[in-house]
Amino acid sequence: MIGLSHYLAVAAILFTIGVLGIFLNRRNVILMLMAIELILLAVNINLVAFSAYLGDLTGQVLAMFVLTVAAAEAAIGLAILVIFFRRRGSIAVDDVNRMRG
Amino acid sequence: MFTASRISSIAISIRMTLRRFKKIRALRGEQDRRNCEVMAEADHSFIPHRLRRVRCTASLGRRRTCFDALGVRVSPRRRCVSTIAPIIATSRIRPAISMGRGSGCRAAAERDDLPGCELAGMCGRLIYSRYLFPFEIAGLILLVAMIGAIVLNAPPPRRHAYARASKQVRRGPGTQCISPGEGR
Repeated sequence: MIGLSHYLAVAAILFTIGVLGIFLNRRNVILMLMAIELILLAVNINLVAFSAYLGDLTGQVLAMFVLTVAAAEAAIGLAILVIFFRRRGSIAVDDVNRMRG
Repeated sequence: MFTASRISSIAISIRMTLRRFKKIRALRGEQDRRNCEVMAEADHSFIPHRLRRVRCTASLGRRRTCFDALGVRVSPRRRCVSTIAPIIATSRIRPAISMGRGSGCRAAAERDDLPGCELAGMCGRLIYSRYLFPFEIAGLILLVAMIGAIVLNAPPPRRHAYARASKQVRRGPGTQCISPGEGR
């Protein structure tokens, strides 16, 4: 029997993985982007689970908006990464601290 | 200047204005309700939140809860304003959202002899009616992101690759020689 708590547990696990991926991995920008996506996905699972539990469709609509924002963020982030690699030759986070043009 | 007659006339005018406002409001409410009935007959999908009269039920989790006229979930534990209630209430079919009873949607469809799961349709209806403006904003965000990604990844504009005749003519013995790749 799968109830609300199971969904919440999965979302909490995903969120924890995302936060750990951001704070433990200090080397790869792509992994940080993926961790942010994981966090957004956990929030989405929470929204949909509560929407189905409360019988309120607003949560699912909000989940779609969150998906939109996540897609836009991924597009812009990857574009910036491509430019960065073209200019510097590496995407290590240690090189990002120089923000001069 | 402020005589008693003037004060009384001001009071009378204020009272008349208030009465007129009340009358206008009553008329507007009547018109709203009539429009609502017409729309409900036409579409069965949209009725404003405060003008709902239908009582409906939906099974949430393990217990059945009912919504009152305002769409507020009547439950001894928790009250929440539901947005699915009007759609359930005014449509002829009554799907039930359930979670925790196996495949909830299909079970509900079989129980209420639905042709299929109506959740996606209701979600789309909600997006196109109540959340139309946020939906368009989301589309705009996607468009801006797409254009931004294309602009950021566009190849840089080409510099001049040909030799400039004026510089070559002006070249004297003191002109410094540079490597060919440096001028690009």
